[in-house]
Amino acid sequence: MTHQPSEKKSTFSRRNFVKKGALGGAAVGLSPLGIPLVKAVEKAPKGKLKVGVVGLGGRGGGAVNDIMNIDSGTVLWAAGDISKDRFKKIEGISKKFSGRVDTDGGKREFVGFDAYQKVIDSGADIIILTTTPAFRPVQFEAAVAAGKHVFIEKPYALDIPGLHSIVETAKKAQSAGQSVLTGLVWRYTPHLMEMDKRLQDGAIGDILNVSSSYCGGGRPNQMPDPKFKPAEMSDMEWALRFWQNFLELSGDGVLEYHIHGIDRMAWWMGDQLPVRCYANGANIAPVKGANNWDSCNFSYEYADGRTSSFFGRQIRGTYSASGDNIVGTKGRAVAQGNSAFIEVDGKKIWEGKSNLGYQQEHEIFMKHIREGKVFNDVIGQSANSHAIALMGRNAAYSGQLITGEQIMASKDVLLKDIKNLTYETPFKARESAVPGKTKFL
Amino acid sequence: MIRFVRKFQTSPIFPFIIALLCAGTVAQAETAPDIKPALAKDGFDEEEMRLAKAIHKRILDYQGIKKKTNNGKEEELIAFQDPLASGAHIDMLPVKGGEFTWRGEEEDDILKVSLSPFWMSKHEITWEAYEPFMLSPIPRQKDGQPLDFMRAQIKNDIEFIARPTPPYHPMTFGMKRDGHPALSMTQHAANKYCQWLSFQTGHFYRLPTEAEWEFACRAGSDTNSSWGADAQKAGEYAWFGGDASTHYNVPGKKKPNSLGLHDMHGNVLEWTLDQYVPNRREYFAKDKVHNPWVKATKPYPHVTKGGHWQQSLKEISAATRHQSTPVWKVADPQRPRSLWYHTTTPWLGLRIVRPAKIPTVEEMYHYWNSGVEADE
Repeated sequence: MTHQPSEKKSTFSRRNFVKKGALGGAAVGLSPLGIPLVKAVEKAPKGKLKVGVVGLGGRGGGAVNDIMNIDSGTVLWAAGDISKDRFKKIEGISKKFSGRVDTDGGKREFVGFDAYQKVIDSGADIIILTTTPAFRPVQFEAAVAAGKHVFIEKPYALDIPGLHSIVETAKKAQSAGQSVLTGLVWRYTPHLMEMDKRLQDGAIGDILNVSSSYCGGGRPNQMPDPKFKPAEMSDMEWALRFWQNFLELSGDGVLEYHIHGIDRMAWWMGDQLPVRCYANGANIAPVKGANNWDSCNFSYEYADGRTSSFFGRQIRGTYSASGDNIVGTKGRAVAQGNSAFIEVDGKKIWEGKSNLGYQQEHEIFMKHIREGKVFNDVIGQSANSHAIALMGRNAAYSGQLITGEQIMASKDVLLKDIKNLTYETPFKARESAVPGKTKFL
Repeated sequence: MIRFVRKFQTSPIFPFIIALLCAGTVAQAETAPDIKPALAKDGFDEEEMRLAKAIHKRILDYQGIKKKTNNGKEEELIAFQDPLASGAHIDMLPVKGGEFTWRGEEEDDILKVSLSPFWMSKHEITWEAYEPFMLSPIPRQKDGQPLDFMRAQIKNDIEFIARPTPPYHPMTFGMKRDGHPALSMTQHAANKYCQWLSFQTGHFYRLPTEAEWEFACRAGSDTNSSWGADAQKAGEYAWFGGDASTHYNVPGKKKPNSLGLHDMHGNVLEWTLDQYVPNRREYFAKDKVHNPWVKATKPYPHVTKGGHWQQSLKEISAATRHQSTPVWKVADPQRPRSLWYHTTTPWLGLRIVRPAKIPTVEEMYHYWNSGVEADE
């Protein structure tokens, strides 16, 4: 890759800073507090665990299903959403998990923007947060303050102030003995976990460079031309219905979608915050009324001089692929879709294949909760991936070189006063970014 | 809806069948097809029936026009190329009706099958022909319908045919796309594709029944493979190879069977219309069946045929039946699961047929709407 090299001499020794234990332990090991907490062990729950879900879209239903599949002691206890239609889904869950849905005859099914607080207050033990991501920091804070274990779907922070809030809350959860799982599912995908172990053991030596991609067939949740918006529908309701199209609600495709690939790149690079990033991107096939881009290229440089890059695209009809090319001092590793291999001296020394770890992530999460251990993959792991994604987005939007210090000091808040947001809140999408003109705040 | 069906029985379909018989495109006298369970005669989804009716009319109209420009002669059962609005085209080859012996997995499962003539696509349907359907120009709800508040603005009925939501993960699974077979659609998506194709081409398309598929694959042979019993020859005709193979292939690069059909064995697994029943002889409870179709009553298992690039020679034989399973959607992170995509099947595709005889509106409705497409 072509990159403006920094003046700094390369001084890295990857295995020094990325040597990590097994998963789960890995995340906690990086946290300032260590495990297990005595307090948490005392709290190891045996019997029924009550699950409350906030946000009953596709991923809400999916996460409930996964957690209930993994742990037969869980029951669906409460649910919340802003749309009443969504609650039909509970019938399906009830059919599949006979006798394990107990929302008190629907009394613990809450509709509205304040539904999250009602779900949290309902007596649930585990809260699943799968609403439109803009709400995540507020809801996460409330859930942790109430003493819950929490699953937070990605992305959970769409700007740096939001990310600081998430990290603060995650630290509180950690010290209170509450587990937190992020829905960055590639981390829990068996063949990639296996490959990580081998890379940790030095299968390809020290890792010099990673290039990752995440390219899909098109933007999800296609938005019609805004001229179709019915007169009685508010701008905010329209925006929430097609939230994947709006920076303010989704964080751009970078956070909403590409973060999966960025997270893998961050993983192979040892979960460090790069020191510099320059980037590009565009709205090549614009959707009328949408301000999110559909393409991006990010170039990162790390403190020790190593580099990584990310390529993302969501344009229909284009080549679609998701994978990583990892170059080490002794060989290379390649992940592509559902498979991966490691190659040394032109010979494949390992190959692996598996499906995405949607079940495995909940398995790890529930195991910790049941054994009274604390799981937390936010601190030092998923928070770093969010920061890297935000660094890339801001560098691309502004067209400026952004340092690690600059990005962490960003004060830009995409959507203010989310706590009091309703359909009546005015909404006007920002102009789609133009590199060189859009300011980095 | 009942009123409509009754009206239809006295409609122009009857003279049409007579004309078709006289023209000699249907080789045998009309025998009742063995469809089980019998097709429902009422209780139709009104909107789906309206669409079936509209498409049926387009097909009859187009047939009338062709006849007129062909000096009153009926269309012959010969190869043709059907162009799509997108610029892609589909090559169709004739499969004359006939009989064959259908051997099942159990020893006593032997049936004599007779089939009416049809055309079958020479190749597996490619991304070029499928993607214009998969990527809808207007937004879709999860069931494939246009958004409620947009319905009033839609002028053309083709947009009311349910279509997939955009895929979330790359559906090529890291393999090449151009010229390659479309992958990993559900049977429901394949059915709706046929409906969409029928609307725009004016020809009735559907998935093959299990019997039609095997008959066309065998092309008169009674061995495991259409090329005979010689395993050495397999490489000339089929893409396969078990875990050692790494990807699917552009159709038509291997030799065809004697009907001219390529890749019936191997490359991608192909959808049929039938639900899987372990013993077909037992299920139909007779020795001889005509145009058999085991209509689905549940979402799984349905029959897929021909095996795929990742399987062994044994698994791609003409007789081998592969069953669809919910495991094919195991990597779908959403609930309810998508009606449109299987998420773990980089080897599942489709091939289409066009029966020589145009079906009734009711039949079209049933071919395109299984009614059991939702998983849970």
